[in-house]
Amino acid sequence: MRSYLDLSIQQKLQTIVMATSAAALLVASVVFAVIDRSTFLRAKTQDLSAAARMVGSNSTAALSFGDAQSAGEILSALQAKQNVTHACIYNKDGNIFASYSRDAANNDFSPPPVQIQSSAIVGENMVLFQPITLNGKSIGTIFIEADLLDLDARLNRFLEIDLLVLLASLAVAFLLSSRLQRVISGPIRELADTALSVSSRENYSIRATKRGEDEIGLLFDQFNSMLDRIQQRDTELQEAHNELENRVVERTSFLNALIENNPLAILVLDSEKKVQLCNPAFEILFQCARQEIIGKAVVELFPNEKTLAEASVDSGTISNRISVSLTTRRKRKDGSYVDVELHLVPLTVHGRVLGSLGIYQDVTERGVLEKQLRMAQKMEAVGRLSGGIAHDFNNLLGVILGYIQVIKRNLVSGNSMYEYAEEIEKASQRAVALTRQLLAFSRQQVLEPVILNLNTLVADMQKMLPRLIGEDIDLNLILDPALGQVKADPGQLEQVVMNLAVNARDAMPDGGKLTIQTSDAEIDVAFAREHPGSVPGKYVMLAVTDIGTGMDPETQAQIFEPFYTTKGRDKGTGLGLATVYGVVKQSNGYITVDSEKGKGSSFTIYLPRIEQDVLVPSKSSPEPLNVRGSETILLVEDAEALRRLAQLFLKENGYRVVTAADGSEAQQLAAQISGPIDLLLTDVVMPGINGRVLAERLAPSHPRMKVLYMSGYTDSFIAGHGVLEPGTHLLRKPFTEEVLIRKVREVLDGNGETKKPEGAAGAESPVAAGPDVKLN
Amino acid sequence: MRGLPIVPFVFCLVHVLVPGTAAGQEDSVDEYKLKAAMLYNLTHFVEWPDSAYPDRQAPISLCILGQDPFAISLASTIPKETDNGRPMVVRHLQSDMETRGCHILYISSSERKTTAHIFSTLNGSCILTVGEMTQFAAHGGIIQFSLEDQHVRFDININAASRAGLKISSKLLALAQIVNN
Repeated sequence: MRSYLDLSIQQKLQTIVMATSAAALLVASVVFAVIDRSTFLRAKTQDLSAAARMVGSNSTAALSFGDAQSAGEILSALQAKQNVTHACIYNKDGNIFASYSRDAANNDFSPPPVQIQSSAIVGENMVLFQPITLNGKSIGTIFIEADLLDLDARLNRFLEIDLLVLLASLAVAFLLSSRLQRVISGPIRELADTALSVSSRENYSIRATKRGEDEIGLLFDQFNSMLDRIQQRDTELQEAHNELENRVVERTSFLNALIENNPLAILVLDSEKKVQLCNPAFEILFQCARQEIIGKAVVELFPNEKTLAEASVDSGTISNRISVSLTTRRKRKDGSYVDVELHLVPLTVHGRVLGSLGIYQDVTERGVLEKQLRMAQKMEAVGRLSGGIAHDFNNLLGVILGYIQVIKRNLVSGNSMYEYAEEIEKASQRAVALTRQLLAFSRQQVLEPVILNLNTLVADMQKMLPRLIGEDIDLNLILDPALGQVKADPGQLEQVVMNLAVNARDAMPDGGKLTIQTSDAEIDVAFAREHPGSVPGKYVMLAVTDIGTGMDPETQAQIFEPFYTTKGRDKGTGLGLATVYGVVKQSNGYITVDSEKGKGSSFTIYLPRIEQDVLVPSKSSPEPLNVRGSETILLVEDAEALRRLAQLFLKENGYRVVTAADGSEAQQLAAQISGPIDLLLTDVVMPGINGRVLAERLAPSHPRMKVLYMSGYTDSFIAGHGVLEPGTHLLRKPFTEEVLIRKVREVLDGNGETKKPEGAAGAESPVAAGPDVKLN
Repeated sequence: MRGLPIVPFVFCLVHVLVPGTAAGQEDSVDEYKLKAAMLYNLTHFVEWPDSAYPDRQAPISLCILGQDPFAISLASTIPKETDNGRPMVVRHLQSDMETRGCHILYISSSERKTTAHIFSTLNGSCILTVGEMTQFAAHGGIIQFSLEDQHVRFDININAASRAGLKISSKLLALAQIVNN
């Protein structure tokens, strides 16, 4: 059932109008009826009162003279008034004097006791008492009772008319209100329609058109301004929404970029350990495409992938809520392995674990680098060790060789003792060669670099090399005509090339081809990063390539170590490549080896390229014909055996020798000697005052004294790189008598300023040529 | 209400009937007491011309000619003043020559033989003549009253009244029998 509230406004308005009209009409009717009734009653009372007065007046005589009959006749005149039912006249004493009844048959009328003048409605009748006066004096009272039937009839008629009027009025009100209600319901309905279309279309730009300035107009204004505000708020909301969305997009792409551009390989697993996403670094590291792996279980990808819990146990971490880091190995699709450092992190959002995040860092290279670093450190340590040994050996070998020569000089050639001495001498010279190579490896030999062209160096060796490598091996030179210059010790470089050639020869016992190639090269940053020890820059490259047996990686890792050899015991010392390594390193160069088992090896040397022209070496001075002399030489050497040997050689060649065991003794002697000291021949490394300090101290008192240093290795003598300062003369230990005497002569003669390069000894060649001093 | 008024009605009947019975027993006294009142009441229904009074306060003179039957009834019955402000005085006349100044002249039955003579002397004067004798009105008296069945009966000669210049109320006439003579 519809309640009133559900009615349409039109119906409500009509209902209100009808109800109001009906109520007003009813009230009017009732008021009118009441007024009419009271008017009627008043008129009736007046009417009855007038009748009573008339009858009373007419009956005064009858009353005065007690003529009741006449009085009754006078009362009978009331018959004219139909509605008078009863009447009576009381005398002055209140007794009934005469009476009248309308219906003669109805005699049960009993007059009420007399009252003073009054009128009243008693039951359905109106009763009236009226005094009868004569000349102002009351002589009796008349009573009249009248029915009110005509009043009832009047009221009934009134009701009928009223009902008709009511119905007619309501009909008119209905017609009028159904027309006039549109003034109110029309705008409201329009407003409702507008609101409906606004809400159904969500179009807040629609506006209602108001009709007037009344309350509904105000409602329209308020509605429109509300729409304005909603539209404005909507716009602001939309803008805020757009901005938020932009921010989300921005943020998302930022986060995405964090993942996509991350150099670390990232793999995200969902809670079922399936791959959810990975980044390009992951694709590169594991050589897979993401579309292949996304959605797959991680164990398909990495059979040994561990869960966070397992990894926690492995790494000793108890809780699985924190990240775990471990270094492990993963297999790529192609079967190769990659060592990774793996960080496993649970992915939690608001405390809920959504999966796990794995970050993989390739540490294969780090392992290689570590290995190379260890290798370099090992080489360094071995170098120091061998350098130390070589230093002492040099002195010992010098003594041995010296005295062998003395012995030989006192023996007759062909004597068996002479042959024994010769054997000792040969063995000693091999020992010297070994020592020299050890020094070379340990980068402690003294280099005398010049600016040179490797093409020239190789070309100079072109005649000698075939003899070294044999007839079964073809020598193939590929020399870049535009090759840049290098600054290096040519003798040592010849040694390097020879050692590499010998190695190549030994790798091709059944013959083959040896290629020596030169060209300019550059070491870039990437190369330098992959090859620890190399420095980016411009280089000249020299490669020696064979097609021999090749080496496996394990062998390649060890070939530069001293005394490592794959050859038979009697074939190599294991120092050839160690020497190469030392020389190249000491020359600020770099060496690599590429080799494959069964396919051959290629050694590539990089030497710094310099933009200077080759100095044309001055022609070596002719060998002095007479190496003997008579000058005074101050010999300072702490090793007594060597000192006595040198003294012996010098004296035998005519020189006057003063010997001292250390610097302070030498200073004392120098002060005592009569005559000039022509030459200071001194060891470099000595207890107390070293050779250089001694030379500086003696220089003021002996301005014409020349200085020749003796040393087996660079050590502290020559700062850093084993390169001689200009004007300094050095005699390398150990030395033979011949070398000593010739060097002394050169220095004394003052023409040791330039010196032709000494021929370098092969890796396995007999003892190297004597010491030489070069000046640059 | 319909049943209750029975007692007052009975009482009223008895009250009306009692004077009648009383009059029967003491006829001489009560009858004239009543007649005295009647005589007085007549003044209410008869109008004298203004010339009948010397001034506005002049009393109404009730003159009794002949034997007075009312005795002391008149004095006790008639109030000092009438309703229209005029006092009433009672005069006892010895002869018909004294009627001057009278307004009402009661001619006693004792004067039956001289009635005609009295009427002739009164001719033209505005005096209301009242009597109890039979044929009083027919012979020229204005009002003749008598008691019949406990009721007062009037015979009024309207010609005589008109000759005397008196106006008699129609209300009184309604009670009376008119004598045209």
